[in-house]
Amino acid sequence: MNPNLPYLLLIALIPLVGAAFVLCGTENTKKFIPNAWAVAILTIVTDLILILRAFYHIKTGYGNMQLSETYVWWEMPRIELTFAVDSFSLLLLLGVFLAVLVGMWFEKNYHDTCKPRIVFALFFLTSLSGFFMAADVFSFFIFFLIMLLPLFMLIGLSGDIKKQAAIFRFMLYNLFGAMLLFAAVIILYNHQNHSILLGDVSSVKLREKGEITLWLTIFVAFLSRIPIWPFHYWIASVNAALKNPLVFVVANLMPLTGIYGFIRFWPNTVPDTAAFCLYFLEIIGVISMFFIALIGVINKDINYKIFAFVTVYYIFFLLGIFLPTDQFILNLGFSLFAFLLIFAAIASLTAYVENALERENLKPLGIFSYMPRVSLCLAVFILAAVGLPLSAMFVNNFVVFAALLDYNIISALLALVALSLAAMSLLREFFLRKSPAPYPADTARCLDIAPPDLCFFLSAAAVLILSFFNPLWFLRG
Amino acid sequence: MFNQLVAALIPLGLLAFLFQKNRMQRTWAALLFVAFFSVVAFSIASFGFESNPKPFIWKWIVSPVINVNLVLKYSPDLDGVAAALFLAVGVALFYNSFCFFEKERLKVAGLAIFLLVMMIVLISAQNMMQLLVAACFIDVLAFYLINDMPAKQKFVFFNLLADMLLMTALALFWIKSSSLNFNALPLFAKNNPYASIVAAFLILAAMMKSGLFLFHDAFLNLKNLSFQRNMLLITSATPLAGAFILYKFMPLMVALKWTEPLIFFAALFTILWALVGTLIVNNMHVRILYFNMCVYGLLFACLAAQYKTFLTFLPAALMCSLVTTIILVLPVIAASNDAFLSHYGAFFNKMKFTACLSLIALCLEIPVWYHFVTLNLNLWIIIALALRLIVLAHILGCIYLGKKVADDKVWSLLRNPHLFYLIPLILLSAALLIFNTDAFSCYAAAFTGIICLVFISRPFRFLNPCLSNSFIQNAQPVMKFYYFLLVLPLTVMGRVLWILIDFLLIERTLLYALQRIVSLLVCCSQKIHAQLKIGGVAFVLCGIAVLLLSFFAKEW
Repeated sequence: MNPNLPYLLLIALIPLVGAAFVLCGTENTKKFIPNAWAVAILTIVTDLILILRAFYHIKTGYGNMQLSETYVWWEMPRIELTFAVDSFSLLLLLGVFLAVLVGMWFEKNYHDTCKPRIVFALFFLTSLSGFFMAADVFSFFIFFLIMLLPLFMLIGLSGDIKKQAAIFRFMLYNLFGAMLLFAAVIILYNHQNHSILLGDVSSVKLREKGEITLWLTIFVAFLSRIPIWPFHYWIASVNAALKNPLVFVVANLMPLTGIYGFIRFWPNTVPDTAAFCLYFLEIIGVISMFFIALIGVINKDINYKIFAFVTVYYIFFLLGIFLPTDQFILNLGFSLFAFLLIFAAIASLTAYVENALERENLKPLGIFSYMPRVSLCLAVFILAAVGLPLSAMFVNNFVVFAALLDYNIISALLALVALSLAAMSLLREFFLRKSPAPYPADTARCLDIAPPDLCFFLSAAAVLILSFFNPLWFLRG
Repeated sequence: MFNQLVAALIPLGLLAFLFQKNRMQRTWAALLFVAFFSVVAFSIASFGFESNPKPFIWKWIVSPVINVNLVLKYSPDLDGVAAALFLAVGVALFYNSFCFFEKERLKVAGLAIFLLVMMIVLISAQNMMQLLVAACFIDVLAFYLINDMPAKQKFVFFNLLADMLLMTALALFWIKSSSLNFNALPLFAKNNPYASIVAAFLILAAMMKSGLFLFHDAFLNLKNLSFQRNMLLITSATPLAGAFILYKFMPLMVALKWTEPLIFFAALFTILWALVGTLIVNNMHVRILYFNMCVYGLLFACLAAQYKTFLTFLPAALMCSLVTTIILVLPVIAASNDAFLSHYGAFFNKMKFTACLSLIALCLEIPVWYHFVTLNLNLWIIIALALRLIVLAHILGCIYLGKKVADDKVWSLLRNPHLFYLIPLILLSAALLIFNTDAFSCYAAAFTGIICLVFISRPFRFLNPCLSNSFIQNAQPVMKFYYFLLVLPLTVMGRVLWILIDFLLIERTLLYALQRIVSLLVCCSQKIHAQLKIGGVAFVLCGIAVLLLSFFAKEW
């Protein structure tokens, strides 16, 4: 099944090449920003084409790594870098690249520190794609850790965070999670004397206490990436304060890494001795959803509302992963793909509006009266976000939610309440901006997006709608 | 017929959307109306209401987990519903093309056509996923049809909640019965402990969508919309979808026993609330909405009492709803769009033709309902129907024969509306007359006499002081009930949790404690590395502690 072209290595390396191109450019010249932006867009589009092409080399399914590549990193001790993908990881890669493309779209308008932002965003894409393609424990850990560097730089560079302490807490906390995974990797490596594939972790036999310690360590490491209660506070304080759309999108992709970690280890790999954690994780998940949705309702900041919406959905997907079967994992993949695109579009357009408001010193009430194009695009994405049939999320969330209802009806209903609250809160904010404007037309002139931007977002909406009509449109078999 | 019709209507709707012209909108809209009329007429003429047509089947989702087919299948028992829908959308399109002020005639026309398509998908749904998708798409179309922001907000909130409930009910049904077909409903009701939950969610969702009592506020908020938009929303959008969804699930409701009385009482309460509301509310637009709320109450009552007659009851109800709406909107147009009833009275002097036409149309509703009375309709529904007609006659009486209170400007401009406004009413009245000639009887004639008497005597005049009472006119008891019962507790809970957990517990307690511990460790480390003798001892002790820890960790 393996093709002649090293697809996976290329997918991981191309963003790095793009970053090198941007890095070589001279920032003083007038054309630098459009050129750097064009390079970044081209890089992402190239990778998207490669990912779509890679779909043709695998069959639809989860857990059957069909396209794999191995590279020896170190001879002594022998450490290999193993990449492998199934349709689930390719779906996530596609979603992530599309989300970053959407986030990158308005980057040409932000001139301050544009170069490092693009470079680190591309670097982040490399590490994230490496993480989604990693097939052995060591590679998995390396990419899990390495993505913290571009993220830290991006958050620091955006300069929007008022509380510097929050960034350090956020990073220390994430680093702590990565160290826990490191400890788990060391235990596994020490036991086996070589790196092992992710699917083979369950074959490692430890003593009961050791097993519990190992799995608890792994779970906490993954949880550290998800804004789950009580860890949501500083993730929220950082993410909600980000004003740059690219940085906001990238920062909100971090929980996906935790979720992906759980997907790769749950439910087939986890031994029975550690399975008791499921109940705690489920309870914490539902409480977090409810808690964050409620805070999203009372908070007036639109960024927090988007953050609350994104987090509530991430935890909903997490609950789907905790189901004692992997029958619905592909549905989760399709849902996540649509979700990533929706949240990136909402975040980008909202950041655009917020920056326009700040620039013109206007209030949000009724601003969409002067931005019909933004309003049109946002309406489509928000309607898709709240669960109406405009994306693959509709059918696939139905399936996942049905499975949750079957497993535990009370937690599923609580999750539904949280989802509804988050959706209502987002919709209310949209209506606030859509109500009749209290200021005259000349105060808010030329605020709307340009026609090419409109075309871009409408194309993204078209992809979403296509995904509704046929959620498997890019898969064969 | 449905597949050919849908195939023809979709390009027509797209055309209306994609080629929106600012100039000569009325002409384009008129052309679109003609095209719509031709398409419907051609489909009926060519394919007719065939008894056993070939269905259109599209395998939408094929996967190991879920399989869904989109089926467009015409069945003869849907004749009446389909005809009523074509008529409702046709009348709205006619008004959109030739009458009333509207900035976006082509957009409204496009949305109307898509609404019709989605209603066809909904009524011909053979599986629950198709039903859910159609219901949600109707919400999306309604979202774009409503151009008043507060109305849109409430409408979307209520319908979104209804969709969530519907989705939950269907998801629970699917996962417990492994089927999305309506045929599985009776078996599910017998064998499954979750049947009651599914039924409760479905009833709630249907009530929300149809704007029944407690959920009617979103419905009444549509008062500021233009007439054609309002008409479309009332007769061919979510309220009708709600009633139809409940109809599709009636086999489950019938098997459960407790659901029918619940639906029936909810429906009766809705009718009562709507009729009282009609009598005490000043705004004519709100009155029209109340009358339609009453019609949906009647539909739900029919579902609960005699759901087998629903498919014949629904077209009659829709026709009468259209007639009532037009009858009530004519005086508003004549009074230069003044919607307040307290400014009306003695309109008969200047609008004799309209008054007579309205009274005749009202009287022609009687044989329609009498036909159902002969089919052993439930007594309470008969009473509700009679009350509805009496209240309508009273209101018409107040408008045309009441004391003159209109100001001079309105009075001087008052005259019969343009012929274009009257054409649909004349045609609808003619249709009522033709289709119900066999239902004329002495009882119907006697009730017609009563209606005429009510029109002249206006027996509810004692309620007229309510029309000028600002407290009654501005009261929103249901919204206040929601605010104090739902919104306020949630907001308070959110704030308390935020302050208590996020701020006090995490920020001020946990993080502060961690910060202090780190400071302590840094201080200890500084002491150890200071040039003191005790520092060396402490360093050695630390080393021993690490050794012991490693030893026990290995043992563990």
